[in-house]
Formats: sequence, structure tokens, C-alpha cells
Amino acid sequence: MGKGWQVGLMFLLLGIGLAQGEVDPREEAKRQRELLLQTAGILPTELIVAQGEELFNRKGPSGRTMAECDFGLGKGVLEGAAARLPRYFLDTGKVEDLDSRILTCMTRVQGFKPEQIRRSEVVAIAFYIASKSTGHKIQVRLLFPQERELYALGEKLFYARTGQRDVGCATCHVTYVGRRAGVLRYADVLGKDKSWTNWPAYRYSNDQTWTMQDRIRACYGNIGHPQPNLYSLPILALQLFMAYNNNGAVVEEWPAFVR
Amino acid sequence: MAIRVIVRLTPAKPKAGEEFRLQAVAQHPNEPGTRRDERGNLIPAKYINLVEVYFEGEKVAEARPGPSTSANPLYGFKFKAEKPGTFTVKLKDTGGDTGEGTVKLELA
Repeated sequence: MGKGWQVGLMFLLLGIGLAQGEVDPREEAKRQRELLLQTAGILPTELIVAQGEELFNRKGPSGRTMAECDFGLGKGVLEGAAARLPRYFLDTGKVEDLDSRILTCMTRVQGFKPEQIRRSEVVAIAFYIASKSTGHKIQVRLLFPQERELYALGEKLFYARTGQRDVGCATCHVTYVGRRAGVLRYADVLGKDKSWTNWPAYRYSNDQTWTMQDRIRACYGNIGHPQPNLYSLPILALQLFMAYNNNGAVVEEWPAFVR
Repeated sequence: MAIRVIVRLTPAKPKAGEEFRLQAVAQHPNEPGTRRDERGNLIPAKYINLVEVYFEGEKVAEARPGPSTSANPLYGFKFKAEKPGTFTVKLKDTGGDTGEGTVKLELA
């Protein structure tokens, strides 16, 4: 009897081990979000969005708020604007994503000096503007030659293998999709995972507020590669490439709540 | 600088006589005064040390949290729903900064 009991316990423990191994981290993130909503009733993202809204309506040195800025759909129109970025802007003659458009707005329209702009503020405003695109479809176009040029660069960077380890974005996110080095499986960035719609997001496991720019920089860090600067060309190119390949994906929730 | 506060009720619309929770989340680093910065200097203490809840202008609850509270803290209070009205949560930190958030209580 004693032995049967021991064998039974072993199977039980094995069963628990297997069951724990099968938890999908995405489902776990949803569960954590629900738990947080049940205990606190308020998500950390909501605080950041509220902060972003205040900053958006704050007057800059020129006496103007960010409502005077065009985020692609006309002055002060935010509904669905983030889902259509990055895009080419005629006033700057550059392709800009949400982060760099906020930077443009703060320096050109609001009159801030570049050194006065804090990254935490840009992220908060990005969270606020992105929150207005929840439920919208990603619609990024390649209309201008500048957009097509940047897309081509993004594609090149995505598939390029560089650095001491001779790896690139596609190594993990195309070749090794579904395998993993950490807790999360490598996302199918261009395919079913629609990773473009996962950022900007709040990462609950280390209390970070990140946009896609931070995510790409971290990717480069992970593969032992010098990190491109924020708002720099390589990051913009990769963003345009990913956004275009996620066209038609519906934004479940912006800002997202991820591990 | 004002402390940002979001206040919610759970359930959002309680029945008369039902217990509900009033929850307030504040955006605040809550520095305890024991942490050091990258140069090894002590970061001065600055934390929320007074939480007051007012219902229609009348104080109904008060808490005096200490330095060992997390950043962006959540404060929860349990009440019994009797009549509709407005709750105001007022916060004060050791640096003299204040914050205020309101929520309306509507009965189901």
C-alpha cells in the first residue's frame, strides 16, 4: 500500500509540473490583468494614460497645447491616428512614428527645446494617443517614395544577420518562432502574433512602460548588438516594416498589458 | 506638483445597504528615505503620509501610511451604501504635495 501511495504522489507531482509548464504566457498576462482589476479596480496603464492626457493638454512655451498638432488625420484628431502610423508627413518631409511625431509636435508647435523633453513624458503621451486607437485596424500605407524607401531599409534590417553572434531579427522571429530562450516563446512578428499591436504596453513583471521603440532597442541588446538611438532611422525603418506587415490587424487594447 | 489620483468603486453601482469598496490609486514614487541613488547618496524621503476620504464634504475615513508603502500605491476602504453622493479622496505627502480624486456613488 505504501508503495502505491508513493507512485500515486509521483504521478500527481508530475501532473502538476506538466500542467504548470503548459500555461500560455499570454493567457497568464490576461489573468494577471483580471486579478489586478479585481483587487485594485484600476490598471497601471490608466494612470499613465491620465498623465499623458494632462501632458497633451499642457501649454508649451509657445502657449499652444498638443491639440494644435497633426498626427496624420488633421489637427487634434486622435481617434485611430496611432493605428495609421508610421507615415510620411509633408510638414517635416520625414516618415515619423508615434514617438517621433510627439517629439516633432513638442519642439515645432509647442516650442520646447529638445533637451527639455523627457522620455517619460513622450511615453505617457504616446500611451494616451494610442489609447484612442483601441479597436481600430492597423492601416499603414506605402504611398510616398520616402515610405517605400524606409520600408525597404526595414526589410533589409529585419533579415540582416550582424554582430558577433551573427543573428538578426529574423533569426528569432522567423526561423525560431515558437521556440524560446526565456519564458516567452519567440513571437511570429510578421504573422499570427501581430506583434505590432502589442506595443505600447505596460509590462507587469518589471513595471515598465514601453513603446515599440524601447522594445526594438531591447531586442538589439539581447542579441549583443549596439542599441540604435531612440527616434533613429533603423528603429523607424523596422517599425514601418512591421506595421505594414501587420496591416489589417485589429488593436485589441492600447496600451497593452503584457508580461 | 499635484499627485495624480484615480478613484473607483467596486461594484460600480452598489445596491442600498450593500458593502462596496472605494479604491484609489495614486501615481507617486513613495521614496522611503532609505534608498540610494547610483552615486550612493541617500534619496530623501518623500511619501504619502495622509489619505483622507470625504463624502459630501464630511470626512468619513482617514489613513496615515508610513514610508514602507509601494510606489503607485492602492488605498482601499470599505463602506456601506446608504445614499448617493460624491466621494473625494485627498492625499498629502511629506513634501507638502497634495492630490485629489473624486468619484460619484450612484445606487443601483
